[in-house]
Amino acid sequence: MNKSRLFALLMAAVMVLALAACGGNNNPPASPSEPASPAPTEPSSPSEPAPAEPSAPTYEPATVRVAYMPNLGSAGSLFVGIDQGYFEELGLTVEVYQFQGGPAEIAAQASGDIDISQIGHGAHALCIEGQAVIFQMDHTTSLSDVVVGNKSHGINTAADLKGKTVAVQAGTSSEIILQQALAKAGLTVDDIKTVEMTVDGMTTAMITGQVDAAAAWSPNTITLQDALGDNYVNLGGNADFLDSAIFPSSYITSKEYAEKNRDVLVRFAQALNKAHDYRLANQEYMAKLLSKELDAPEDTMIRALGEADWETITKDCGNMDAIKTVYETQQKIFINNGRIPEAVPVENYVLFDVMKDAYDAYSSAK
Amino acid sequence: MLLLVLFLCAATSAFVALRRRDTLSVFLFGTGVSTTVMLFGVIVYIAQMGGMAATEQTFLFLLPQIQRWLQFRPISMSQLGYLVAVGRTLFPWFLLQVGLETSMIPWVRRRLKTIRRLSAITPALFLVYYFPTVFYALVRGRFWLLTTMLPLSMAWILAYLAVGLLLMLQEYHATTMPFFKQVNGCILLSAAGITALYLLYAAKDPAQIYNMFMGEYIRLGFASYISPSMTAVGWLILGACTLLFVGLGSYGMVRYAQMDYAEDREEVSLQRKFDAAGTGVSVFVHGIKNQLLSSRVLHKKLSRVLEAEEPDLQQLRACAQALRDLNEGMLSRMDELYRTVKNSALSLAPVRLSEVAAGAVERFHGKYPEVPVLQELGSDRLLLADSGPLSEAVYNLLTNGCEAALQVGREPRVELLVREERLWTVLEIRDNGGGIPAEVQGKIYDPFFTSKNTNYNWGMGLYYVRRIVKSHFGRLRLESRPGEGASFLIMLPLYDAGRRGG
Repeated sequence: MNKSRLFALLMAAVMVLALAACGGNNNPPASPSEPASPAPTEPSSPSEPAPAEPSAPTYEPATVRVAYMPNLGSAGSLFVGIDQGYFEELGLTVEVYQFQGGPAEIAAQASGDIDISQIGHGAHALCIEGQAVIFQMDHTTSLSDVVVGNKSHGINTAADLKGKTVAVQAGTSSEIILQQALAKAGLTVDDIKTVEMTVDGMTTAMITGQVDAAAAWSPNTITLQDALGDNYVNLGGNADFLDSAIFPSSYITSKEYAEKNRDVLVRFAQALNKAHDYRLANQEYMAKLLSKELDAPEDTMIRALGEADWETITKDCGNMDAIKTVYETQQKIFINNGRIPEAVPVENYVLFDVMKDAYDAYSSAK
Repeated sequence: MLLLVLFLCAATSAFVALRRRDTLSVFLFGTGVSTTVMLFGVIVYIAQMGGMAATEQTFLFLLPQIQRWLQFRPISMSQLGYLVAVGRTLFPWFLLQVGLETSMIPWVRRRLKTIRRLSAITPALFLVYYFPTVFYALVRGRFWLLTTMLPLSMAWILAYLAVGLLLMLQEYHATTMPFFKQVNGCILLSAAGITALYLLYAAKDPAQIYNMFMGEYIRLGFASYISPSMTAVGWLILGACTLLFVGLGSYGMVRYAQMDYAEDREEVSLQRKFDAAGTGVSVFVHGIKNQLLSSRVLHKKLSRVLEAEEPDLQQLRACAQALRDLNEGMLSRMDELYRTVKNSALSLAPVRLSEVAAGAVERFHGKYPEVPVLQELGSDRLLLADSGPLSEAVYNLLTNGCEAALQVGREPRVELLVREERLWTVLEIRDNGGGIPAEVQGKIYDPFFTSKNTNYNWGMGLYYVRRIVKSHFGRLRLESRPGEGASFLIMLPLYDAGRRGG
């Protein structure tokens, strides 16, 4: 009995020690929220921050928890803003949290775990439904979503998807593109077999041949292009539907947060305006920065630079009518595909006043 | 880290199940596996969906590489969600079964099968409800179901957990004997540890993983599995608690598994020793030879007396008596040895405890008529026993106790205490000898092991007692108090005369 007790004690002790050793890991994974890396060595742009002036206004310090997705379109302006110190100079400390989809970001935002989220087109439906409010447009249209087919599975066009297994992540922009591509081929979602997967999961599933097609987005589409080679086929992307649709991405927050922290939102959006300009002028720098921050291959990130329209937002960010038109056009897509039952006034979920104030503050500080 | 914890939790459960191979360990294994399945699903989901802080990443995955590997696993959200739902649904049922299996409440024991079957209905219904296609068909357009079913599921889950744990706690409190208290304590500890681990994520709705009605989940304010807002200190506390719970749970399980395993191993080892029999033959030959030598001496003495012209009749009578005694002694020891090794079948029948005790004391007084046996019969339950061999076993222990006291030069004080302990009946034989040293305790049940004069003892007593007790589906335990004496406890299962059919 004594021996058995000793054995049991030893087992438990070994277990606890093993676990304690795990808990005592002194090398936690590098967080994207670690101190920003030094400024890039690329040629400076006209919008590079000017040296601090003695008369610079002071701001009440605030910390914001920001959700993003690991791609250029979602994380570009955020990490450029952090790296260039645009948030810091407005008194904002940014903590970043990586998510794999907009709906999950909004869920975390709704439970108060996240203050601000960067979302793609698909998750805007939740804003229209009243789950969150938009306070800054990030770019007017994304070009990152692609429905990818595998030719070796007999898929060459969207019409070939009938009866096939397609991986998709519900509520994301790529789901909308899949619906658009199917509609163009005279099909509906009921004609295919959908499998709910995250974009990374579906990438592996495509490469291993477990699914016939996937509604994915950049940079995973580039990974798929490389892995599938000649079997890769683009069955439809954002660019194919721009004549009738637009796929903006935005920064959003909860209504409660917006009511209590309007000043923080204005400052955050102001920093984003500045980051948009710098992003446009220094795209390769952005790709390299994100490659480092997101632990992604540099070459892939550089090849993904075409995944969004970086320019239009820098021109129209002060034009609230143009912004409104973008959101109205976007809402029609949701109404047409049945995602939203009836039209909702854009003003209900877009904080144009915050956007305008941020633009004015940025313009006057230029 | 949690991943590693889960691996250890599953390994411990498997260890217990493999060692014990009884119903209780199967249910304990079920609790470990179902928790592991649920938490593994949640971890993979979080790995795939993201949204964790650095401390949470360490807490869950230990290394970011592990998280990235899981992130790219091509698992459909339906599979993942149902995995979590299955683990979440089965754990409370398994825990309740552990509680029921542990409980010695007669009402529960009599209705065990019925309770077990009835308790499976609710989990089964929820497993059907959470099946992805059924869930989609049921909930689509009926979102009130979400707000109804989650509290309902939590209600039965908490009820099952509470009942299971309360049954174990009640059993722990109701038990007074140290050995049984220890066993129940281990089971309770293990169950409480795993339950705490399970409750980390049990309150959340696994169907959110399906990603079918994300908008509704947000609108209705359901808690998400992803909670990056917890502070680093919060994760640290959670991590420490998890370590504590799993540590306690695992310790309890391993201790529990070890208890009977040690006995089983002892059994195997004893059998092997007896089968080898070499030692036995040598002891037997030695003993017999010594007694035959004594016999030869007596014969020579007898011859010398007879060679005289007028043999001394008194001497002749004394020699004849000594020879008769020697012969009787040899015969009775032969009988004892034969009885020990032969494959005798017991004939179990309901007998009164007092009958067994009286039989044993009578035999004891046949050998030591002057030594009183202090009897304390706290129960006169019916036992399912073969009265003869069982009395013989008790007699053996009484004799051993008496001789142990004589060996250390004390006035023998032998006690026979009978009491009830939950669903067990315990006969304790206590002596005031020198106790049994720890280094000898592992050998006392060995056949042919004896600390007494081998000329008059075959060392088969305790081996025989143990065999008889085992044949009665009981247990024999030793509690030694060095320098003060020892107690042997014969623990026999309760015979429930009111129960039919087995």
